[in-house]
Amino acid sequence: MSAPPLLFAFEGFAWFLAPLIPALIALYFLKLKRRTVLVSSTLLWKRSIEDMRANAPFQRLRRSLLLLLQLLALLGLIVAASKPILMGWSSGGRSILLLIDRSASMNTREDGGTRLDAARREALRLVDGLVAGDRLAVVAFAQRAEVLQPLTADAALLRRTIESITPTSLPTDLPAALSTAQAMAESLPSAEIFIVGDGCYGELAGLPLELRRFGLRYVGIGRASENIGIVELDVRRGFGSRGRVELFAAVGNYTRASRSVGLGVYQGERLLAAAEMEIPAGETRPHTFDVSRLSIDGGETSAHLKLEISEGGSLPDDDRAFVRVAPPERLAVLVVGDPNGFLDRALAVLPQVDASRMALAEYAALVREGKITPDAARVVIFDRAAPPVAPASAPGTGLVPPPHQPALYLGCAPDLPELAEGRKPELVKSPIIVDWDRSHPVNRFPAYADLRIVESLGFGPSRVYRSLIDAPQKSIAGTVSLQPQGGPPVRAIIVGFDVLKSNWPLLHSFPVFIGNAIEWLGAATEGEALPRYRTGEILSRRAPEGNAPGLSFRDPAGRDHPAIPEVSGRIAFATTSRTGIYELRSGGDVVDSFPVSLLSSRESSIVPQSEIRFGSEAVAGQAAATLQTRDLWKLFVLGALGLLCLEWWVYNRRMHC
Amino acid sequence: MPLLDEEFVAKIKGLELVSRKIIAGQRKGERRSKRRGQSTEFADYRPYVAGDDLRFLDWNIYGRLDRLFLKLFEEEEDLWLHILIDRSRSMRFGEPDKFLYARRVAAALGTIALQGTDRVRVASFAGGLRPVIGPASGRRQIPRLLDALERLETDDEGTTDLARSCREFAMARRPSGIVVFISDFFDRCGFEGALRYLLSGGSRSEIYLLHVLASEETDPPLSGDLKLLDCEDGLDADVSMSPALLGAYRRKLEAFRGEIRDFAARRGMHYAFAPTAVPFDLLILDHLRRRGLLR
Repeated sequence: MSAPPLLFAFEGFAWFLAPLIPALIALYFLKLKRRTVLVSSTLLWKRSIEDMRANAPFQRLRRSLLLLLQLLALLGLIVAASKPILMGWSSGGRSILLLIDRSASMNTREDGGTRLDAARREALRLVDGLVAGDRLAVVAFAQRAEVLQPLTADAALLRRTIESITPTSLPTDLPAALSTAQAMAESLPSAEIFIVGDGCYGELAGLPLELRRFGLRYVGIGRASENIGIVELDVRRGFGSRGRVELFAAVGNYTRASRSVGLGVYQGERLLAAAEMEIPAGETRPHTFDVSRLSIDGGETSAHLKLEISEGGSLPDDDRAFVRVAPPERLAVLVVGDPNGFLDRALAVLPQVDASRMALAEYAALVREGKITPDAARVVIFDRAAPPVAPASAPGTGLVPPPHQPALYLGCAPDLPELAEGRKPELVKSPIIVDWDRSHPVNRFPAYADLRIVESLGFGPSRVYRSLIDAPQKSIAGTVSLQPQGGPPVRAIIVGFDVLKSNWPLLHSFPVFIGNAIEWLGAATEGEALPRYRTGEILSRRAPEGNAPGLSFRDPAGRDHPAIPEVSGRIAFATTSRTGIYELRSGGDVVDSFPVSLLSSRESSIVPQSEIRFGSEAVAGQAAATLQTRDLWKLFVLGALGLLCLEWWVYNRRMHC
Repeated sequence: MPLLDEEFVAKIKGLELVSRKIIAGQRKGERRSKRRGQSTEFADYRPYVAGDDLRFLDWNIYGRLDRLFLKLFEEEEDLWLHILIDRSRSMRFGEPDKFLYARRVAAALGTIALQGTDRVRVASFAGGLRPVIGPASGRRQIPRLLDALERLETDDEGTTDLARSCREFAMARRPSGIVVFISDFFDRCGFEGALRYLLSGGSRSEIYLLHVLASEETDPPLSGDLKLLDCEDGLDADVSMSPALLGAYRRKLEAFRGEIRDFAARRGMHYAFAPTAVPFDLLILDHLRRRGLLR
């Protein structure tokens, strides 16, 4: 890449300010301050002027040294505002912040190496070009920016740092990296920020004002390469038929021609499903696989599926993606209250639900003894019998007695100060249903227009309450979500009326509502790992119960990272920088596993960009060798000031001599 | 400050006006006249006609030729000095101003004339002619002349109209003599027509043109971007002073003087350039004497 010897960082400024020159000339004519001098006669002067055409505009301009000096000074200021930069020549004393892109797209294989290798070479070339007084800092960035080396003039140290930059499969967040660079540069009188990367940074907003005072340069890496990648993957069990497992995938074609791609879903080495897709150039196509054939052994907590594409192109990271399929889980539901045949029948038809019933007194005794475990009752239904709550309970814990499972209240309400902002729910006689929240998962499919109720508790608006079913002025059913101090989030569904004092059990909306409510509440436990993660996302789950010694996360490369449970009882792992299966281990046994894939259309689109566009502004790519630069704007400003001083001197000399 | 100081008056005491032409005066004076008269200077003979004064018969001729001839003697008459002073606003220009310079010249010439037997008439002009004094003769009129000249002021209204002023001068019945025309000749309508009026009285008058210019006009001390305003008609000229423009101006001024000089020379008039930079007494005592106006 050959660069001009002189370039302008803010070239647009020059075009913006250029009209000032004709404006100055126009002002010269319009505002020329002529001293009036009384003479005996202008007879001879007129003849003289006619003789030499002294009043012709260009004659006047030619003779006006002042205007010439003013024009030169203005030109100097305009050029200075455009921030001229002399390339290939450095005066030393610069502070350079070198941002090296190590996102997934930099793993693209080109010319026998990866783009990151090429970026390292360009960075080393830059280090070689440092002159005495120059200092350089190395920042590697992808989703986050990491300062690998603060400002130093030690070239050997810089080389070692640059060579040690490891690749990642993370998405890119250039604005975050620029914020880091800005924070570093703020304490410096002047700094230059060099970005070495492939420019695959997506749509960026305009360059922040704070960054404009720094010289921003871009060294473009990579050449046109083609890639096909998996950009989305998910798994779900069929509704009402939990034995059916579907794998949803989306594949993007980032080449210039339509491509036929073969896809295979594997469990280990076993091919579960395969497909061939024709994907037009630049487009993404979805495909759904039926993977019900997968097998989960009794001892395993989950199965991992791998989706792989053939002929994936230059970037290997997006050629395979992983997903975790948990075995169809049975949900233990505890119903507290007197017998209720309608509710029992509604629960009985739900697959995967194991319902049990006990009286309120028995439940209260078990709670006191601490014998209710989350596994024994994943969801609790309080049927017309609200649980007693100890007065000393911490705020929020009154929603459900320990261990604070999600709960469904039918015909009763928890004694919760946060609910209705401390006001007791009012009793509403024969409420008429006026509306219901159709967007809520619990209200998927049911309709309540035919619902007739004798009486119901009515709830007012509250910060923690979201209405599901509305009567005039009051809500008769809704959800409550709370985040108690030091504990996991708790949520509940409250139905304010006794279902036996309504026609609801006779309507088809009743069993659907109960099914939806239990599914929604059961999913809220968030105890387990999600089906799939993207690189950079935090792996999080509830810490294993009981004594689990030596908890650690093992990354796909086989390195172990200690895992320490948080106060909330969860454990997390944040450095998911490579794709693959991450395992949570306890004393050598795998407790849980987390499939991590790239799944990023921005990273899969690996066409390198010759410039980085910040809104309407563009920073053009340059070769590293040309980045030995020197800002010339100060010289132009000094020159313009000098010319203005000279102009002032000439003016005064004319006026007073 | 009087127009003439005593030292200068003493210096001009012995001076008198010189006319190279014999001009007919109105009264007997000290000047030779074209009229044949009763002076002792013999002029010519002419045949006797009836009615001639028998006292002037040359009896010696009659004795020799037996014919009656009358002896003619040159009559000595007084000399008229007409002084025309430009009192337009442009004359107020310069340091010292041209008007003062012109009045002092007029005062000096008038005083010299009145010291002798010459008769003096002074008029000023701008848009038209206006008498200042005259006719006057005799030493006793000198204070009156000086007083009139001292009180003379420039015309602050209107512009110079040389042609009209000279036409009025020509139309007035006036005896021939010496006409001294003192002006800066700045008239947009030109000077030629005006000077032709001066000549219309016949070639017997001797006309002196004194071209008075201030040093600010001969060598303008101007620089920068200026709006030059004409003090008479208010016409302006936007100029950006430069050496080239000043050079052009000087060339134009030289050409202007040359035009007047040539015009005058072709018509038997005398042109004298009188820049105010030249001391007034030097002009009178030296330059005008060398020009032959005084002796």
